[in-house]
Amino acid sequence: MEHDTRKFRGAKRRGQPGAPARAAKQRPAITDQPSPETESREATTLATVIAEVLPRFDPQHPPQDTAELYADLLIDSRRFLMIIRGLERMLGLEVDDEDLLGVDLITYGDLVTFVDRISAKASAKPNE
Amino acid sequence: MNRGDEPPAEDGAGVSTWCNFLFDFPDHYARSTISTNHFAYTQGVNVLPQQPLSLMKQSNDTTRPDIAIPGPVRDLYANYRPTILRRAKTLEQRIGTSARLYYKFEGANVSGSHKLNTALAQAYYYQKAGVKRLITGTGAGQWGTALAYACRRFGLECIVFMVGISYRQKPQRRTIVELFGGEIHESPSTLTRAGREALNKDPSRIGSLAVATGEAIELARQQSDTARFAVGSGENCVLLHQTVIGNEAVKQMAALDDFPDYVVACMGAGSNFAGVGMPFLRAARERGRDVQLVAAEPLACPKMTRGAYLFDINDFSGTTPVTRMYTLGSSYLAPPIHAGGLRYHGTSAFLSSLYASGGFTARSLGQVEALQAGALFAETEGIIPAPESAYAIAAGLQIAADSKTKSGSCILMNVSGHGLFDLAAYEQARRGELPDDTPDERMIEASLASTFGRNAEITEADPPNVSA
Repeated sequence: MEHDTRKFRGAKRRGQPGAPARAAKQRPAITDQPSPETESREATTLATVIAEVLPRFDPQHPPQDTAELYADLLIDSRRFLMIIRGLERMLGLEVDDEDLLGVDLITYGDLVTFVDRISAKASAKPNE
Repeated sequence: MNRGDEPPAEDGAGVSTWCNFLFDFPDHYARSTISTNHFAYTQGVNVLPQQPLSLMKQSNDTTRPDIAIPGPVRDLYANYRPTILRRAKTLEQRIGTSARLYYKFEGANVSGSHKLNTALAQAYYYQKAGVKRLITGTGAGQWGTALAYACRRFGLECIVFMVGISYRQKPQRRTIVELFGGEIHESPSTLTRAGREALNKDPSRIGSLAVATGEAIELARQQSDTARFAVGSGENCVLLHQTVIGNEAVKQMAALDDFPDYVVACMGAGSNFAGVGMPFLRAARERGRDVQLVAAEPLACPKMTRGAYLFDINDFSGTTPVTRMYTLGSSYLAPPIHAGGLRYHGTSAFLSSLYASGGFTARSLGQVEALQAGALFAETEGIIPAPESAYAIAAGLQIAADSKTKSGSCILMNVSGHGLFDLAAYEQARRGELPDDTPDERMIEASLASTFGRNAEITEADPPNVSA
């Protein structure tokens, strides 16, 4: 079971007549320049992994931190799982249920912060 | 050669892994994940799966043939597993067949059915993921009682929406849920928008699993800080947890020096069917044998034999993922048969893909035939089967009686639960007072037409390769 936005009955795709009007917020461009805080190794890895999941995503130009994962990047919970699998592979770590406790993943910045956190946790493990 | 002449020892039949059938059938997995371009523009959505990551991974893992059962779950399984597998010799003699009939019985636990196998696993994973409360919909009540017990064991709260007709037919189920500290509501209820909408169409509160599920999802969304919706069948991880049945049965049949030509189970959304069947498909391939899986479904809800392979929603509220499945359409309301667990409009996306490619067969049976078979089984084998399980027994008897079945065939039936809360059904059957279970043809046509119509409006999205 995934999140609750997967409407079938009555759902409208963008551009269809009757589709919900966009909110006032401008859609962040996927090719926006990265903000400084997304230039870490983890952020680069994340961008690479997302590019594997979303072929039209340009890892050289990740979106702004305020870009929404679902509304702007079309990342649903199934694609989120694909991203997790990619991160596990590339960062050599395993993401557990406990790692997601209390986490909200709404924006690209949320995801970068999450990846930083699990990466730091994985790095700290050998010294524990 | 033993072949069931001597009672098998259950010692040694214990298993420590679930059979990951997605590893065996990656193509059907991939096909079952095809979804639709149903993105609606929505801001502020948390993409965190509502299920624990571990369950999501299990539902999408094609890389490992077996998945270890966690220690705490194995400890609780040990309270009632291995379950018995016996040759039904008295039944064979009574019907005068040369076929060898075996049954696996999943009713000897506190919930009275196989549902506890996944309830314990899910409660374990949800508790580990920090969830405090599980909310669910249940048909005949086996799943609801199983989840209530599992939640109790793992320190979670539990809320159950139970299909109205079953809620009234089986008040003992309510008592058990409450005994384990759970909260239970008759569905459709007035507690949710989905329930209130359904009540308008169904004022006599017959209900359906699609509605009960919709109510549970709606409430879980409202309480998303602490609560999650838990599902009792259909999803791959649920089917996976049920393979403990088949893994045991493979070992038990081997101990009896026998192997089934047919494995028969009733088909609701598919968990007990897959649970007993998928390990036998693997075992047959490994041993160079043939085995045919047979799904038994009610005439009242013939999704496999009369439904269509279409994209459809899983619940009345329309919030769950759209998957391609064999379905009668989510607006179909099956007649109020006693086998409430088989009234669901659709079935597992994975099993639907397998069925579409001829991976197993299905047959539909009437309620009278099923309950007569159940009564005969009770008389000859000393176990009163759940009405759902009676459909599997009836199908097994049909196969045994089929002149095309080669003499001496071996048939394994999964008796998924006991029928001790269904004595009213057997009483009605004994008196010849069972109500007509003929489906409403116009409703089937309308429901399917509506679903075909919606399918014409949607397009397939790229199948995600989650299993990489």
